[in-house]
Amino acid sequence: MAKFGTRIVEDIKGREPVEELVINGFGAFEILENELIGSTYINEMDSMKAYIQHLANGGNAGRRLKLIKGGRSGLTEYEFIGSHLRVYGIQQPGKKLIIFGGKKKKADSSDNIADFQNLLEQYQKSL
Amino acid sequence: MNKREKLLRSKTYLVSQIQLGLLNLIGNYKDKKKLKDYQLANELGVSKGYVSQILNATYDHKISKVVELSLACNAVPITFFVPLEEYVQYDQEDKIYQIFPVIRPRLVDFEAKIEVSTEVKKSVNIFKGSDSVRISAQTYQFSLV
Repeated sequence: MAKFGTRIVEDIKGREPVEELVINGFGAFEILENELIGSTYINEMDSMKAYIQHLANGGNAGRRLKLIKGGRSGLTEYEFIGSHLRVYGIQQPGKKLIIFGGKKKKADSSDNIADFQNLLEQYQKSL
Repeated sequence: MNKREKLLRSKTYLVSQIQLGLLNLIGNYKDKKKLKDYQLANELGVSKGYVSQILNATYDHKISKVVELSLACNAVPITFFVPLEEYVQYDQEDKIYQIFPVIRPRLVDFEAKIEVSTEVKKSVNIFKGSDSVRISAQTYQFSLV
């Protein structure tokens, strides 16, 4: 069983704090960044952080943000859409929590969404 | 260099910030007027593809177009260039830049009063300042013959 925790994402400073899920000592962003080392997508992480910060500041993120429908968590679930990357998070009272990040899948990002919802379920059970 | 500092110095991040600013403006205009993409394109006088680029925050075109789009949304784009080190320093102190109007400073409102006297040395006050507020005063020693 994985150990879960949360910590503030220091790179993102918005009106609303943004936290990331820590799984066995590794943050969600850290895991994604490690996955992207050596690839051309690593620079896109900065854009993803800009989108999340923009939303945390109460901005209109347009098509860079999608609300995921049909989740079983009972929480507002977000998908941040980059050109090649996806970052998933939830809204908690007064803060946003980033749960999972991954690369865009060829057909759609349903696999990513399934992984995200699975991880969220595990996290909720651990509370 | 910490992670935040690295992010603030990133070109991708800064470009995204500008794109998101434009998206915010056009997106809110679209929502306020309850327009569809093609209607917005007609109103702004651009193609549907252009509107799509703006709403996807992938827009990376001419400055003149940014000005044109802003004016179409009843807004004026104002650009400032601030020293990077200062920007990073302020961010660490949780200070952000906000625009507020101030009275335009005039070039120099020069005023000198010289008392005519037969004395060899006289003190003359010179004031430099803006329209109504005199912000500095210096005293110079003049030699009158």
